[in-house]
Amino acid sequence: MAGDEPAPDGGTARGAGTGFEGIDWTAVDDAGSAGPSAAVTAEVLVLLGLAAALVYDYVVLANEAPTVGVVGWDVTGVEWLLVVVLVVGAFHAALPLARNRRLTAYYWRQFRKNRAAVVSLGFLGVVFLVGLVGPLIWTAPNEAIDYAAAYQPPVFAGGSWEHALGTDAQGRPIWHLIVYGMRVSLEVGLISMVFAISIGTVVGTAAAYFGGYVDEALMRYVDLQQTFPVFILLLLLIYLYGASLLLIIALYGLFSWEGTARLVRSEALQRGEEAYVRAAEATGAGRWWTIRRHLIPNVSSTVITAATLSIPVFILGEASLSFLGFGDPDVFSWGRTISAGRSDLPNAPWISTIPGLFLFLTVLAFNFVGDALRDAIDPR
Amino acid sequence: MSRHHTTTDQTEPLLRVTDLRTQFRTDDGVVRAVDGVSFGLNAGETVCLVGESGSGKTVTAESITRLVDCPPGEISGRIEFRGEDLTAASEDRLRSLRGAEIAHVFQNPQDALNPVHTVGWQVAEVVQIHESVSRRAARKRAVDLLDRVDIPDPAATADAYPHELSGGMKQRVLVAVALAGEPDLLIADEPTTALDVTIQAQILDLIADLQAEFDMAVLFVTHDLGVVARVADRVVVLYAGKVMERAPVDRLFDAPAHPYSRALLACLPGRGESNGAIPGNLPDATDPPPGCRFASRCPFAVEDCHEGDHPPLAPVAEDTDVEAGATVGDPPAGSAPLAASSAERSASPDAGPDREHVAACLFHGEDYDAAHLDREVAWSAAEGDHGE
Ligand code: SF4
Repeated sequence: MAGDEPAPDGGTARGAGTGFEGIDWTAVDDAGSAGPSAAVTAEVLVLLGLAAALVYDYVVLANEAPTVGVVGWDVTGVEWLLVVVLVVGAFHAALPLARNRRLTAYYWRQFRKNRAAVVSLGFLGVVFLVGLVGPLIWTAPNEAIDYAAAYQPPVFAGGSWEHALGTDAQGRPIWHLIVYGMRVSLEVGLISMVFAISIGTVVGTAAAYFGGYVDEALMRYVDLQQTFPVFILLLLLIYLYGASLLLIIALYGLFSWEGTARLVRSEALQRGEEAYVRAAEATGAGRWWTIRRHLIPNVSSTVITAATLSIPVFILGEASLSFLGFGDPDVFSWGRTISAGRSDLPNAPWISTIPGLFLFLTVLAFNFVGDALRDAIDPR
Repeated sequence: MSRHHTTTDQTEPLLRVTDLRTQFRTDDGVVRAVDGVSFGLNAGETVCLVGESGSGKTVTAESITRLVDCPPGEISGRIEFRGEDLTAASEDRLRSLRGAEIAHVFQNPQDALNPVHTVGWQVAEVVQIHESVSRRAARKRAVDLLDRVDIPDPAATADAYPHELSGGMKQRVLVAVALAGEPDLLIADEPTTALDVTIQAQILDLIADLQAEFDMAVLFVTHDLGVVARVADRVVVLYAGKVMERAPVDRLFDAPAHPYSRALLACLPGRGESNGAIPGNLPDATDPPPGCRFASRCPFAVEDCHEGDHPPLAPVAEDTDVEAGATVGDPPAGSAPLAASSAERSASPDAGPDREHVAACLFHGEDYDAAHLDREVAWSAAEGDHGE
């Protein structure tokens, strides 16, 4: 959720007041003559701060010391990306939602009608939080190796509360593997999604806006990419450079935006014919203004749904890769844990089934939420 | 109703459209949606473009600020707004005119408002497009404008999303949107067609009030002669992309000169016996047959009507009209408002420059006698042996 694209209300910012008078008009838009709004300034500042921290991490600290000394967290490349994605998500999804309380409340009322989706959203919220802060609380699985505690069953199968979900062949607590797996899923799902959705939206809008040859060229390329065997390229790159999470995320992000591009293009073309777009032009709105204020907000409901439904695909894809042994050997993906537990299935089934269950529930929850979102935020 | 016959000092009209041609290149050929239309519009005045759907009235209205998509559209001729030719104006120039000097109100309020923005935002948007005012000021203007179009509790309504308002309220919002730039010319394209009758009347009154208050000229596009009778000062009757008749509104109702105008009037409930539509169809817009565009449906058509070009606009002789008016028939008592307004206007003896009355029919030309049109029986009878 947190990484979703802008809410479909663009800039209808609203303060805490209930009346029109209560609107925080200083935040309403950033295209006026008064220069960029506070939100945009803040976002740019935070991102600049991150960039500075990144330079500090790589140039000053290099690999000598953990980035955040206090908690001993050495931030990796993928984690940097995740932080950027979260910042962007906070400014483009959470902030507008918090500002437009009435619209948010309206969407929530619509969304709430779908019970399964509400439960799913709660589950995903937990996965998100645990995946985000869990690795700072629980030790990395490899530091928790304890051969004396190997093959402990979970508590519901006669195990102890010390390792509530049991341990694997090397005595690593399954819970730690789950937590670190959540982090991996979070990274794969959110970062790939932001890549894919951003590129897809830009390409789709550009194709619809420019039309003609640009449209033709972009869409032919989309056709081409769709038939391109990404999996084989992935295997080749992994063979050449070794598997890394960053590589997998980048490839997923860069080679799976065709669907979004198509969707956005057709939606933008359709919405471009709507009377309110023509009406906006009749009030003297420029082409770019019309696209930004009228077209994109109306296309974004489609984009949000597509984004939500693309996340589980990426998570599942990474899990499959890891299951097959092509995953990043340094991260504890759920797929990798499931794979590792295969040989122990007869005597210690929990090693595979518990992460499998989490994977299954996560994917299922995203699909429920995506479907409910589609129903809730359709602007018509 | 606002009548602005204050035109004696007005030599140059606010808007002068001369030989406007708007064509669309399609795979099936060139569609001549507007094919040589001319008319003028003075400050503060209301001119109605009347015609059936497909007559080119909407395309004419949208050509003025080039709202038609070009390409595939092509606009030629002259569109002089305060003396400036808009057909030669840059897109930037037109954009600064749209909304600020020339505003539009569209037919369907349901679709013309963006569902994801509050209505207050959409009014304030126009203010912000054209003036560098603070958002706070734009907001205040938006609330004022909503108040001005008689929306109850404007501050709260400004906060509403379009789906929370009724059709009439939405159309009021769109009028507020149009007013936001304080335009001199309002182009209203069937603004009441999608509304029910009582709401229609309210919106028409509202536009008339605002017109008087802001001294706007209104170009009113409609197929509804009842609306024309209510709002128009002068009328331009369009058919198949051509002007059939231009007349002051009283002359059009009392003494319609062109067979097509007569047909339209005969279709009005309470005028003539005909009800519903004129039999027949519009000619093919890509390849119209030679001669008068109306020939295929005209009960008076003679051989010459099917040859050469469309007849030029010719002045309508006074005396013919009096007879013609009699022919079309006195309205029955039921249509009192129309009769009253027509009578009232005929009584006014003004014969200024805007009393021009022309019609594009051979019988009003030099070679024919317009009286021929009156020798025929009334339109409804002619329709009988021509149509069905
Ligand atoms: S020119 Fe001929 S066909 Fe055309 S309106 Fe006149 S009489 Fe009818």
